[in-house]
Amino acid sequence: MSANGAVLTPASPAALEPRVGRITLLRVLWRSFFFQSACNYERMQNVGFAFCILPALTRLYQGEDLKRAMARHLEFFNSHPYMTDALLGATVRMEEDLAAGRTTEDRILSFKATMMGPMAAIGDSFFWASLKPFAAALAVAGVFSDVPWAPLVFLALYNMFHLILRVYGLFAGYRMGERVFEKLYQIDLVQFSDRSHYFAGVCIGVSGGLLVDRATRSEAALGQNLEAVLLIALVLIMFQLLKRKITMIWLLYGFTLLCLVMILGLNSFFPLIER
Amino acid sequence: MATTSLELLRDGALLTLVGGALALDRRGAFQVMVSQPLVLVPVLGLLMGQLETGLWLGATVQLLWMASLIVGASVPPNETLAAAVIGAAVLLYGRHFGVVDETVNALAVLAGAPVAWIGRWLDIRLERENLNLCMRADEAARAGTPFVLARLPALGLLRTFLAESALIAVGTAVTMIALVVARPLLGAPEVKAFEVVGFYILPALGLAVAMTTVRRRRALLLSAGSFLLVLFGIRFLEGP
Amino acid sequence: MNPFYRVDNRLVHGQIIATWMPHLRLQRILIASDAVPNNPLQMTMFRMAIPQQLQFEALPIKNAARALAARTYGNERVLVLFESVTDAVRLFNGGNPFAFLNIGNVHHAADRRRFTNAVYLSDADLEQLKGLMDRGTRVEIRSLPTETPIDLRLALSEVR
Repeated sequence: MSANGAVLTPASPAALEPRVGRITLLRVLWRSFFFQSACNYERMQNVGFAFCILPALTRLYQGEDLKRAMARHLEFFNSHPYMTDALLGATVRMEEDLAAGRTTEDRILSFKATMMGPMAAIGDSFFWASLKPFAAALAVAGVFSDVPWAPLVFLALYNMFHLILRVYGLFAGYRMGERVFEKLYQIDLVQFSDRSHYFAGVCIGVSGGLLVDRATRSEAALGQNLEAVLLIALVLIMFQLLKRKITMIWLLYGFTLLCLVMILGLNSFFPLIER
Repeated sequence: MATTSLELLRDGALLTLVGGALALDRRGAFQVMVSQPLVLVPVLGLLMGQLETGLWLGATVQLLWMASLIVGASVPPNETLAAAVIGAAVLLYGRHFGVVDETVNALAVLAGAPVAWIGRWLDIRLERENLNLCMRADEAARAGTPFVLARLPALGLLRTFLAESALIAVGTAVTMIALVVARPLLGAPEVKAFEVVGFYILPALGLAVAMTTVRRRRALLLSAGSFLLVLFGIRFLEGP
Repeated sequence: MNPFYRVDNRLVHGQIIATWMPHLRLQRILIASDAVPNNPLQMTMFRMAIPQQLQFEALPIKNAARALAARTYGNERVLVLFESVTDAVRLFNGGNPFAFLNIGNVHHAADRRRFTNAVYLSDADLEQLKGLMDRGTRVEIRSLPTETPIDLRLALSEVR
């Protein structure tokens, strides 16, 4: 792949325009899987963004133009890693336009700056706050009902959305350029994330039922139905404490200590368990 | 069980390297979620021939840290590293000392949980260190050397891998020592008490944490409904 | 605290939708900025990112100050977002003095000093914020609701 191959083959007037081609896009796609490998606190994902779009830049520019293009994409960037593929695609298209003199550098910079916040909002609330807990809750319920391949279901369900969004996002972004947001509008991930909370709720309930059932049958079990009630009470108390901003780690050690003191203390007065 | 300390070290090294490699998935590379405790601990379990232990432990640890979100510049506790340490300790203890029970699980979770916060500190340090990658990228742009820029993510990943693997190795060693020293000292009442922690406290806390990830109040009602349905459904199906 | 005033130069992003929205049980997001209402792409993106059940609007700072001072939104739980400290101070001086300001994200720049990994403030920003604090406003630095807030007054007195 020579850096100016596309420019040197003037088959038709359209071919005179700088184009990056499918293989370059695939290289951008591959690199986008390492998008967050050099995150830093001053400009966040800037190195990642520049690294991902680099194959397109080296095809479009040389010399001073290339230096300028690299510096352009090393500005502050912070968004959601999966959603960024759509932005990468659109930015590659805009870079082609810039190389052909149809758009300006400022327009590319302001496009990226405008899109990164809302894209992060959509991606964070869909993937991190909705799909991940939902798929995990489903798989946890699976494990608790003795389905050994439940983690594979988690991976398949999650990555179906993840990979489709990445691959489709990159190519749709490239095809539509700045207008990529229209496509995102049609997918409407926001409403979906809202609904996934109901599914997650059911899965957590099922996991709870299975766990309580297992605990009441175990050898360590203290009594009969009483402890199902005790466990439910325990979960609700912990839930309330978490809501009141007491962190999980304090509850973990606090309740462990309480449990040890109670059992060992009771046992020293009423020795049920022999040493 | 007749195993040599050499075999123990070999297994420990294997789990550390696999754990460190999968941990890269959490942020730096791919993000296909193989770094989630739910997947990571069973993978380690498979390597040690104890898939079932890995599955249950992974699911429990997954619940405990279900609420940690990576959004923007904020850094949550690193549940992946904690899971790797807890999983490796339980599996190594099971394979080389022959004890697999709820007491060991509970002890390992209690000893390994702080690793998540040490991991958080490490993540912050690494992102600060990455500033020099950012500077080198700027230099590459000034010099017009794209191949220099293209090398930087690999450097970032290598650094993360080395640092996180080291933390997993140290964390696992400390947790193992805690298990090896503490477990034989426990009498029957203490074993029973930790069993109760493993059977009741950990799953209950995990469920409570998972419930906080559900944003809608009506969805929580659905949880309660499906909970009761499952609990009494099982009893009903089994008959009196 | 209602409305909740926040400086965040990413405006609406993951932290807002995934953490603050459920934490404050928001009903409305109001962006006070002179640039945003005139940027149709940005407006479209924000409307897309904010769930439908929330009201969303962006007003120039002068109009936002007027609307807030007149209590247009009644008891609705509102998040007011600013792109910069300067915008927040302009709203404060524009007839709507508020008692509390959250600083969520302010990017690094050459002349800015680091307070947290997400908040970097310049001397000019600090001068303006001191003005607010002298008039009784509490200023905290906190990106997520789960973090421990840093009181800016205390942070500054520690430096000296």
